[in-house]
Amino acid sequence: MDEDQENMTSITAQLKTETTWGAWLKEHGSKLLLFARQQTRSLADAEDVLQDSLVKLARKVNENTFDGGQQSWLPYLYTSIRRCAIDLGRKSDRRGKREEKVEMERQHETGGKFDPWFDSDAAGEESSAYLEQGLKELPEKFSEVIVMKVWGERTFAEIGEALNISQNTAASRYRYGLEALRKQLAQVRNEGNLSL
Amino acid sequence: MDDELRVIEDQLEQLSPAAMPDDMLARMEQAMERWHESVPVEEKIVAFEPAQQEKGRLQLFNTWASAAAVALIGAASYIVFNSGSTTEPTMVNQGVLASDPIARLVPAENIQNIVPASNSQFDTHVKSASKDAITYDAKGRAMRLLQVEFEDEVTVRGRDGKVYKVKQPRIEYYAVPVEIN
Repeated sequence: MDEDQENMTSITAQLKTETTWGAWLKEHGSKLLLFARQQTRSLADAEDVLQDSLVKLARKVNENTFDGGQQSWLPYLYTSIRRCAIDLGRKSDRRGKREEKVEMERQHETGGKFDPWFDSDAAGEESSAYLEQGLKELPEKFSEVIVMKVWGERTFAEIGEALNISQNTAASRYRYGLEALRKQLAQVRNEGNLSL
Repeated sequence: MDDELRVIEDQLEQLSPAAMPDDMLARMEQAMERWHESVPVEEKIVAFEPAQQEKGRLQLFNTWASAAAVALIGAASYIVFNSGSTTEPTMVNQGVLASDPIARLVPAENIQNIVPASNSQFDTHVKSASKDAITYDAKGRAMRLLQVEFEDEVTVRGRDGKVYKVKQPRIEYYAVPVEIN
């Protein structure tokens, strides 16, 4: 009888978890997708990497092998997305370099509008587009910290842990990244392409 | 952080990440709900020896067997390509030392007065083999990297009747395709 009750409790817990994935994804999916896009070369790759990471999380949660509560899901996913992206990059390095070049050219030609990372905002669309373009062109080590800090709302300590760097290095990269973005925007303004 | 950087930070914060499309959201949710149907990446690699979990000795044997097979191929190639010259006791006097493997292992001046000890004067042993690394070739195919440490051994006998053995270590790498689902 006790065993039956235990099984029922386990099944109920599993059903409860499964039914909450949708709501949780609605809340956090967009920022995780943004990070996956920053880490990969295309939207298709980003989707693959994100799905792999989410399935790993679901497996761990359902098998009760996940270390920590629900508040630890996001830190886990940032680390997992990055690892999956690195693995994917290794597998498709040669093909990816060609795709990356095409993607960069396309981004440059379209000002980042072809594959937008952000929802367009009519009020500040002009500067937003340049910011997005600038972010895409930043060295990855800067842009990943910015994406995790600004939209992932991670602390520098958490970012450091996910990227296997110190907290101070994470903070420095964030500052250097912002500085690089500031210079890019200033240059655009000097060239008269930005009215703000 | 100075004011200018704070302005940039504020501008960035005003950008909203593009929402995940509904169809993608549904795919992700479905994938998470069906987590038990997916095979973890670590398990997708087919083991070099499928029975290694159950039979530890067999695993070791198979690793060595693989390495031994490689060594055997090497030895056979050696015999094929050198047949008729290495086993002849008179080769020292026939001026073929420069191209003979023995001559390459032993300086010429040291073998003026020696002759091969027997027909089996050249031997190759596998000292160790490892297969821990997985790598990818140029086409992205998964390959298990096999490192095999050989020891080549040449046995010669001097004119004084003494037998000398010359050993030389050698490491070779072999990439064996593995299947990934």
